[in-house]
Amino acid sequence: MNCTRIETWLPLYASSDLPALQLAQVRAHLAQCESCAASAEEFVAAHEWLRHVAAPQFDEAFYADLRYAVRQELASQPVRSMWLRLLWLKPCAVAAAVLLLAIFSLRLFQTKGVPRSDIVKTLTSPQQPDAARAPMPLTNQLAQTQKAVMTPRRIVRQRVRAVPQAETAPAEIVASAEPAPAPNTAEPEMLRIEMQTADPNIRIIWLTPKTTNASVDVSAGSLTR
Amino acid sequence: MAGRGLELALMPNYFSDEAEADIDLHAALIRRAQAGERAAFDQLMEMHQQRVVTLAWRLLGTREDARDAAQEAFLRVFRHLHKYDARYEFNGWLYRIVVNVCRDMLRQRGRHGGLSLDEAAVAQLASDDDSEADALAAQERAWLQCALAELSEKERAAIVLRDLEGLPTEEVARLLGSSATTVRSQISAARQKLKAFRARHLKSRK
Repeated sequence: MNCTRIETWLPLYASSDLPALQLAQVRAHLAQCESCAASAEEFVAAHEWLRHVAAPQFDEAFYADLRYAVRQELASQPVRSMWLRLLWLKPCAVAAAVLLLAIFSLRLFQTKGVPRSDIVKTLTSPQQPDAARAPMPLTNQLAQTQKAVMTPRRIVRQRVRAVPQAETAPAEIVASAEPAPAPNTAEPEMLRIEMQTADPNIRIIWLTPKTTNASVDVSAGSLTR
Repeated sequence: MAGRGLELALMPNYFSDEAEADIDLHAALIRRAQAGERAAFDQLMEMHQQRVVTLAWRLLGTREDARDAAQEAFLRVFRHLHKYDARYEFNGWLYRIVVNVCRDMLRQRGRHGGLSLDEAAVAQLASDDDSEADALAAQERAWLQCALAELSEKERAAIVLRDLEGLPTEEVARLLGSSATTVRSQISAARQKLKAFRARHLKSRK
């Protein structure tokens, strides 16, 4: 072990801060190297000098003055310190308040996300009289918006229920070849075809002008024109 | 009792000579002070004032700075006492506050780690004491401050906590927010400088 390496370890050797292996290497080197041994002694002496310099003694008046100053400072800001303590003691409450505010804002944004013009368009069809297009109160609009959303499904179901429910076979052509009643004799005679889907509540009704070359193969379940 | 055992197990052994009753009394004082009892906090101040002032003096170098630092440290202790975890040693927590206060003061005053003591102040300090023994002790302390003034801020904090306060290297690293390897390096550099200072000091005496 050379002296340069040992010298880097000597400052920590003075206070036994070296790991056991390095400590043993330093001791072995110092036993045979006078120069390093002298340097090690100086490190130990400096370390001992540092440790044995007595701490300063301050009198009781010094400490009393210190305590008084601290008490005065604390007394001058009681409210601030109380608020700070409350804030630090209740981080969960603050976090919960922020979370509630965020949820409330999100819900408010979602409610306002439906444009009012769309609501009015949905609720007032072109066939309605002008009186029906007049703006209505927001609560009524919201209530009817829900109805409007539900309307297509309800209409389909109501129409389907109006048809006799005798047929239940899936995707089955249940009626054909009977002319649909024509409200106006000037119009061509219409062919009415009804198809029952797998859903017993859904029936497809097809009206088409009756032509001579149209034929329906009911038994095969297919339609050819 | 299991909690008590955990508390004692986590405590570094700063007070090996203190009775367990004193530790109980100290823990009770902290709990009362945490509950906002000013009288308990006053008692805590009295118990720790010498330790705090001495550490601040070693880090800052003058009596006035040490007093200012101790005052600020106790104010911070009061404000943050509710965050103190009783499973850990109170002195370690207190040391960290004092070290941080002293660092802040050094930075605010633009000293960049240098102490304000010079050789004229050493002579003045020595002459303020009455007896010859006191004068010699004061002179030694003044030389110590001169020696510490040659160190950087980090080196001084490391050497003061390790050699003068007697804390283990790992605890010094924890207090300074550094690694044990870095602290050993700082201590090593500080001892090199102190050795050189002492050699010059002894040479000038002859």
